[in-house]
Amino acid sequence: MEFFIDRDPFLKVLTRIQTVVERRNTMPVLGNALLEVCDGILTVSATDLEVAVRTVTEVEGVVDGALTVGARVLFDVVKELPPKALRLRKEGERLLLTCDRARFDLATLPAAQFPEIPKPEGEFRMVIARHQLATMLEKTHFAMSTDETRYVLNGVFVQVTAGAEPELPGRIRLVATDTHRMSMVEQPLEYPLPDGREVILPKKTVYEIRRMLEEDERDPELIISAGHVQLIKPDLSLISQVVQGRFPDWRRVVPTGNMVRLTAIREALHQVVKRISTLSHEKTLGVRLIIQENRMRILSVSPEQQEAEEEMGVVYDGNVKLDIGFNARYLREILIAMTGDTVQFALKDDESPVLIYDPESGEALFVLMPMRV
Amino acid sequence: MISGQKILDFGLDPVFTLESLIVGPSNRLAHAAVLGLMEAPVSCLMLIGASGCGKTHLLHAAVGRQRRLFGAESAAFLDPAGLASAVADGGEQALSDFLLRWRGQVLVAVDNLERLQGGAEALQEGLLFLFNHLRAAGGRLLIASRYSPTQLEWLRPDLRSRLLWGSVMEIAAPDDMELEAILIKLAADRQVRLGSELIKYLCARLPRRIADLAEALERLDRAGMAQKRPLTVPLAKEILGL
Amino acid sequence: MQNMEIENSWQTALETLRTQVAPRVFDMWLKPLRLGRASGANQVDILAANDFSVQYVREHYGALLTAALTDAVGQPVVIRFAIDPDPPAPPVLPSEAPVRTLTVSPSGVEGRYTFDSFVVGSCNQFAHAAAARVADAPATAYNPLYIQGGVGLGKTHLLHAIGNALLRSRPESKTLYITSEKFMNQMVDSIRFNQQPHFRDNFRSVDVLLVDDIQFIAGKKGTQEEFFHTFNALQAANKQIVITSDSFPGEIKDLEERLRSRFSQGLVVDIHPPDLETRMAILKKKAAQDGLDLQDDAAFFLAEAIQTNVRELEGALIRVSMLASLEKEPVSLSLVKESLRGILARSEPRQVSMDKIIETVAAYYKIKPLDIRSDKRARRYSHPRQVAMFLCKQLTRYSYPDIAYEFGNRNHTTVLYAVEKIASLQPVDAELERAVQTLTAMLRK
Repeated sequence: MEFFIDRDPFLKVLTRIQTVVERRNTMPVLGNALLEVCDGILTVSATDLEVAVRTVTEVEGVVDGALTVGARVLFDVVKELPPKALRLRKEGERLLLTCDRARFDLATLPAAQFPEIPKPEGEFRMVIARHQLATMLEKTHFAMSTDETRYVLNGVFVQVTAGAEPELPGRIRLVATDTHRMSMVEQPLEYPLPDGREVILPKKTVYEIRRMLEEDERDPELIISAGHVQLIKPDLSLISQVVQGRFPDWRRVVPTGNMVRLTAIREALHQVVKRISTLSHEKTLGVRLIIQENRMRILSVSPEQQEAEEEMGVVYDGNVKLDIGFNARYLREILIAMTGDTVQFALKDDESPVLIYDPESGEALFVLMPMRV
Repeated sequence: MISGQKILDFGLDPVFTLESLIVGPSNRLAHAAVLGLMEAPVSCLMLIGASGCGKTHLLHAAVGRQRRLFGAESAAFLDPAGLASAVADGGEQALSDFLLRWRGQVLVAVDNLERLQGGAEALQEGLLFLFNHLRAAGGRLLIASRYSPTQLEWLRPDLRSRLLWGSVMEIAAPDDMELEAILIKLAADRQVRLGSELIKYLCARLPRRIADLAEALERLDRAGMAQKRPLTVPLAKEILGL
Repeated sequence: MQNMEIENSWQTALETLRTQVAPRVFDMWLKPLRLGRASGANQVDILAANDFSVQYVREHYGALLTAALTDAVGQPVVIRFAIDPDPPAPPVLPSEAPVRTLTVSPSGVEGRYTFDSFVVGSCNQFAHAAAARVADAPATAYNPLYIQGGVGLGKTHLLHAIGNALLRSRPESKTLYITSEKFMNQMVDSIRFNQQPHFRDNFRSVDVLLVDDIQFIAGKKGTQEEFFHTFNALQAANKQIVITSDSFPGEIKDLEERLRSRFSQGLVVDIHPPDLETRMAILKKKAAQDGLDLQDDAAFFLAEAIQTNVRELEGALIRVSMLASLEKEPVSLSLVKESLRGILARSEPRQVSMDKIIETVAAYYKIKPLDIRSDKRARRYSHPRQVAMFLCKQLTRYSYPDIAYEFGNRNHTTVLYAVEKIASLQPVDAELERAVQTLTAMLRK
């Protein structure tokens, strides 16, 4: 194998794969990137067996071939090189990288040891608008659980459904929850869909997809098969296992009997919560909201009995005073994920789930459980 | 640290299929009898066993299989809790409606027979008639109960005698290995993963009853959720006080 | 790697594992595994039936499996465990065609119950003789024939036996077997579908009407009315009626007097519980019918264990037979004993009933038991309710869902919450602690 490539595009590719490479080193070859040259195309792949990315770049190929080389070390080397042409050549069991007068002799492992990355296949394919998927992930990803023993919650549940009529656009819904709060966002798709699918994207995959969507403006293709989900762009594809399990039914926790409405200016509320929570207990991050007759006081008390309080105007249609506590971080993350000018809370009492939404749009729902402060 | 954070209640949605049933020495015969019920020369099969030994699971699995093979109308799952009002007054009309509703089923599963006690004479009569009908027509009644008909003193003698006409299978207390497997199944129902260390720890210290395992797991699960901590041995020590 | 190769390696690995783990572990967890897709040089999918099997095998035997497969293949292998998308169907006992639809013969008579298969003893010889006479010459003597006997003593058998004899000797005459509740049911149906004339014609045109368990029409006014007219019509036309009941006509509660007197007009015979000799004979006959080799010691044990009731005797024999086929063992005394396990009443350790706890707690807090079971949220009720839930958990072996059920079918997390709350408040709330102690002492008495 031998080829020439400029430093900058090569560095971009190597940067792209770094987050995927297995760090725990269970199998040495998983710390490596697979480099394949064929007909002037360089394919670089990395995987941790859960997620895999594969990038495609044009190079000046001399000899076709394939090998694997330490992904981290290659990245570290290329990062320090000047923006000039690099020459990579396989010599025996070594990879020889030269640039100007610099020369690096790197260890390799045979390409045959690299796990096979499943080919993009599957009966379910759809093109999804980049912006739509990015926005929807933005509104949900923060509510994912980080507790690995709750594996089904370690991800975002994605559900696409066919339109009511064959020619009507389908819908897409994303849900995430850590059992303290839940985000649900649902939007119409741009295109009709013949049928639907459900899949739980693992946390790492959600992170990789968000990165991938930020890179350029192109709309990716989404492919869902029995055990995998794949997101494809011309020069980059991401293939991931899906979380095996049943995602809980989001409908069960959306409160229906919350009759009291509280409306506030979203950004103002966010700023107040941010300020007041500076004195909250650093672990539980509790803030109290005391609401009565269109006034809301937001309070916190630090473990050292330092106190913070601020009052703001709201629209509140409850007849009685409500004193309710929340984790300030949860509340802020929801407020940040929202986009409208106002935010509305549907409340019942100080221990039942609270529904938070944009009164101008029904697309996103947030359910937040109170806490005793 | 006690967390004041409340948690969303998604409820439990256990999987009651034949594939997800743990079959071991304790329930091997009951399982085989349920699988063979439609072909057995009896009209009724009773499963007797303590709370949480998997009776409900077997009933749902049997009904599910029957429906999958012969259509949704071929089997019914009844729980006395949901039926109390069905034959409320025991009048001719109510009893007739009750029979009309269920008599088309080839397999009728009745869970929690022991809960029929008290004020349910009409329902007992309804069940008796349903038994007679199913027997005459070649259908099957599958009943789960914590106690044998001979121990249910309030049972009508004619119903008791009919229940004892069929097959009665006792589900014994599970052994160590089954308990471990059941604990994993209970965790799977909650969609949580238990490390083998925690499984060993719980099985060694908890009472050897499935109901106790289920309750301990529920407490552990809820505490883990509230405190956002993974389910581990230290958490179990703290929450369950073992 | 070729599929054949990996399949062979998998079989080799399984054989290795069989020698490494306990046979029960192997049968329960490893044997059901299936080999899935092999991808790449060294990655294979191993499929298990469900998510917890996947988890269990990965946790407990993942390393062992990997080692065994690596040995078998001859190079490092990564195993990926997954749920089998197409699990093998569960085994089904060899059988006749399974029951798909329900069918009842038009006459309602079941062929299996004949005079030949009826065991006559001193307990039932009069009833048997009367039934045989009716079958021989219907509507000549004994009309109606009223057979009284306790539960499960063979009344139904005699009715069907009459039916079968008549269907054979007089195929042209119309014989109908019906239970009284089915009579009721058809009557209600006929009203519902406005087919009363058809209903009446159906019953009034028979030559022999065999009515089982007439006591079920007790308290059912419409049914009694209709049956009275049916009875009269048949008697006027000199048709045979045979009735069975668990009580004598005079003992059936809520039965109209005119029916009572009509039931007593013909012959009333009764059946008594069978003696040991008859029970033995019944068991032997039934076993012979079913092709079951029942030895005398086993028959004697069964006949001794079940004394009152022919039906339960039959049931016991069915269980023995099923157990023998499930266990693939011959019928022996020990198998018979095994089959009765769980049936014969055992005394459970007495525990306080939840009723008693609710009653006692209500009395202690001077509220009504109904308030405890209610949804009332005032603290006056909710606090005693939580105390009662706590005591139910402490003093009984019931599970949270059981307790939730007892307290008005609530969500069991309510109980969980109450129990934890009372437990945590007790050390800091002296009054509560005293209440719990007093109540516990009262209930333990």
